[in-house]
Amino acid sequence: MRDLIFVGYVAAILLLAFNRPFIFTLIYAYIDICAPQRLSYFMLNAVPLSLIVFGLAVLGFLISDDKSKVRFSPRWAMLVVLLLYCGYTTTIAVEPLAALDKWAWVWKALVFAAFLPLTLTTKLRIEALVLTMVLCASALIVTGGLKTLAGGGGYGLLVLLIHDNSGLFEGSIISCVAIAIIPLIIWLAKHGSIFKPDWRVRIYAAALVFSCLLIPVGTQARTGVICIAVLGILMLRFARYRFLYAGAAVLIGLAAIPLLPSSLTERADTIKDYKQDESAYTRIAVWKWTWEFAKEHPIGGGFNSYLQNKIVYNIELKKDSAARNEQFAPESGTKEVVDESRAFHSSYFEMLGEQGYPGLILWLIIHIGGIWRMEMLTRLYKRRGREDEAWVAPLATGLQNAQIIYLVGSLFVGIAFQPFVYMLIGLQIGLDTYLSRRRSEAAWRPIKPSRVKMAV
Amino acid sequence: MIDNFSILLSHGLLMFAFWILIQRADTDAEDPPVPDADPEGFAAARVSNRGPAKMPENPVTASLGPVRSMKRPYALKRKPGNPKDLPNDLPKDIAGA
Repeated sequence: MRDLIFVGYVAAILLLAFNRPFIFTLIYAYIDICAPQRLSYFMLNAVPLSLIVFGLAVLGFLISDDKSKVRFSPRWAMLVVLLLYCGYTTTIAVEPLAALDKWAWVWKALVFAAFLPLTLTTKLRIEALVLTMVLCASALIVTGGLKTLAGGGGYGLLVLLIHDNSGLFEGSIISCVAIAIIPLIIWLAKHGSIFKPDWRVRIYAAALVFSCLLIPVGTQARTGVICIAVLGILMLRFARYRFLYAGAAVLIGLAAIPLLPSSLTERADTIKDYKQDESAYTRIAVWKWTWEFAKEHPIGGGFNSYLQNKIVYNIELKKDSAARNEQFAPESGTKEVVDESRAFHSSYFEMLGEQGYPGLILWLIIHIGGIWRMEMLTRLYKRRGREDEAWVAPLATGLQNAQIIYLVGSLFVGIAFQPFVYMLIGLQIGLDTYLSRRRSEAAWRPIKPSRVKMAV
Repeated sequence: MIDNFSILLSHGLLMFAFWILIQRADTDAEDPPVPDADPEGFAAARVSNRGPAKMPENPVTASLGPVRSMKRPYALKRKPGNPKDLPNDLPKDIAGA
């Protein structure tokens, strides 16, 4: 039954898209984020759905869009260079088969991110993409929030629509993304024109933000807790009454602690008590291994090069736990752990290990360049102060905050090639090039009328 | 139950958004922006010679109005030091200096 509904739904939105081919691009974003082919059992996953829809999106762009409005930017070029570079490192990968596996989805994410800015030629299209990304993520976030409220959370236990540990369905990744999109939800509730900001939109946005905040509670991902702290600090920047805001945030945080499940507070406590935490030790050991690996492979070991690691480290044990377990030496209070093929657990080390120094530098240019460009846009459009451009500065700030949250969250999660984040980057580049074109159009003065006037 | 509710809500809103996008003409094309009152760069140089930004005028009606009789302000805006920049009605000794 669910399959039939999904087939009918996808067919219906595809039919709608034939009226305005840009909607094919949005449908591709929907398929990439929600993965309806994974939600259904046999019908949609029997056809290469994303390939078909991407083909339609490109065809729609080629046939119906005004290409004279397309602009490019240095960051767009960097994205293309990163795509080509990843293709190159795949050919020299130390784990060729595993590298091909990852390349199979990474190139699609990068190509789509590079394609997006070409299609974002109107303000409404930019808003439509923001809305699509938020609504698609909300399919996972609403279910996660409701299940958390009903007491169904737990580390590795919260099921978001399907039992899957990849993409946005993974706990740490959805925690990071859910917090990162909060600024965009707030922007849509204030400046949206597709769903006009009335009381219904505001209530839904508030409920969705609350649900986003519940995701780190439900998944018990420590990354999410850190992301919430970063969001709080970032929102302080534009708060009118900063001390009041900071005080209220601290009070709400303290009041929420007794309401949180004890398992979450215990997990959060391990952030400061990392010497007893095996997971934290593994990460540090893998990062050390990656640093040495990059010295041997400065131009990168290709995707999934972490499969080659074998790490040995000693973990400190608490006295009581050491005494209970006979296999550890009670006098030393340490345990030797041997591990292999452990994932990078950090996007920065993922880039360093897989794409080497050039890949890491490209990746940093794309991301830090995004933060810098959004800052420039925010300042420029606040200074311009035009009423018809009032939506620009808040959106640029929202995208900047989303990226900062992602960059902090990705310190501890390997999500350097997360397609959702590349859509965010495509959106930033599209906004930047769109505004650049509009500024030059607004500043343009035809020479001809003045010549005619002078001649008369 | 919760999953189905979440799917229904998000997918319903998404389809409604697509429906609205189809109805709106500004999805594909939008009006040109309002010209800047005070543009920068090359445009600024031209505008400073012509005065504040205005919409293009009809040359026939413009010839009938006061625009034709207005003095061009550029002479006073140029850098001093060039004799050509000085107003024509200055005393000869000052103009010669």
